[in-house]
Amino acid sequence: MYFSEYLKFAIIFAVLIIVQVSFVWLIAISNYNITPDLVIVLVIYLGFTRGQIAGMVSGFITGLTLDLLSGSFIGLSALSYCVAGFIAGYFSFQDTAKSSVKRSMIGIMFLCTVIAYSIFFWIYYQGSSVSFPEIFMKYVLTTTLYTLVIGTVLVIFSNVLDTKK
Amino acid sequence: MKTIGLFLLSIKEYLIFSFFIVISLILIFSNDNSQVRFFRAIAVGFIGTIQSGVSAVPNVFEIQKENQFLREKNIELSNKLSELKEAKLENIRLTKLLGLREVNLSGVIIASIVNKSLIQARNTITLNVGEDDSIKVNMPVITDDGLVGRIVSTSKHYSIAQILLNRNLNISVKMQRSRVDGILNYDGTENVIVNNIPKSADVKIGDIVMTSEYSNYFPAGIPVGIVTEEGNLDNLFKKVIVKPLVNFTELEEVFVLKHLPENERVLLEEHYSKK
Repeated sequence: MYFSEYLKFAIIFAVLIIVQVSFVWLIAISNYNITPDLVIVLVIYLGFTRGQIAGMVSGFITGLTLDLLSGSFIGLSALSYCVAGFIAGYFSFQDTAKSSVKRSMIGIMFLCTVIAYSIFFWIYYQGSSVSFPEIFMKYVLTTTLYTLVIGTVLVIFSNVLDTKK
Repeated sequence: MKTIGLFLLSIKEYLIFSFFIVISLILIFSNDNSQVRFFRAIAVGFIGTIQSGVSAVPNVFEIQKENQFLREKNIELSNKLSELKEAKLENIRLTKLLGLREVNLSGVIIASIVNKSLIQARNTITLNVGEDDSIKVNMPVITDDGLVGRIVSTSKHYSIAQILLNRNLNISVKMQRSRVDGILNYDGTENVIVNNIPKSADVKIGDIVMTSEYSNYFPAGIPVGIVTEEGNLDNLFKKVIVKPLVNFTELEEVFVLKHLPENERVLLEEHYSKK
């Protein structure tokens, strides 16, 4: 990655973090306050398209930024986003044909998000009386699916751009 | 070296991933919320289980060191226990003495015995109180059990008291039950005897002997001893042997009563005896 690319992603991440923190609550669903995670979509995308290191570094930094902005449980988002970036990077399509792999990106995004949110909510609800299956159904799966909708839009948008090129 | 470098380069993703995971976990555990406390509890329990397993393996040097430490501690604690027992006994004695002080209207001075001497049946005790403590000659010395004796000599910080087992001490006494009077003194052997009791007087074994109001030196009513033997001395008088209530061999603390003979009475009696 060149410096301009770093800068481009840094700006996109900054915008997404602001949107995530300030505006995403407007599209929250139900009493459980389920919201899509815009930032993790980009982390997974970066890992998927730029490799494990890019995914991990971006995941750790953006996760830590979100932790600091939320003011509680510092390190938890950093851990889960880093794991998501690492897994996404594992399936990176750098050495294969873009179009064929991009089709499977949604499935990989689902996998990464499920694992990342399983880690996040499992730790987050430790010490409470809520069981892990309940956590998985109420929070992990719903957030993942909602995020996947955003991710799918991003993949489609990316494909459209590729087609135009 | 180059091989190691290449190897590390080949696993750089995993190294970086491990680094970020460690940093994340450090950050997570630096929080102080209920979730982290829960994890800490699990971690402490886990580590504790491992340590308890490891501690089952004996370490000879540690055991030797620990054994030495425990021996030293044992000696130290034994000494402390001994001191505590001594303090407890002293406390019991003083408590009993204080209990006596509360019911006695005369002023009292607490004293410890610093010496006991036995010179030709003239038993005395040396007390750690003297003229500076308002001790004066002829003041009675008692314990919670009964009469001990009287002060016969004083210095600024010490005083000497004759005890019942002293041939020079004569005490005017009476039987508590029958009110029969007599003079109590020590015969120099092993008995304390009440003299001058008429043959017909009502005296029985087990009677309590106490100081009488006829005494110049002692207030009336202080218990002295118990009659252990009674028989006829001659045709006129009885021989009554008394066991002192105070155990002089175990005596350690006493009370000195601030009681002195009434001057007017002493002068009158002296004046009459001179005639």
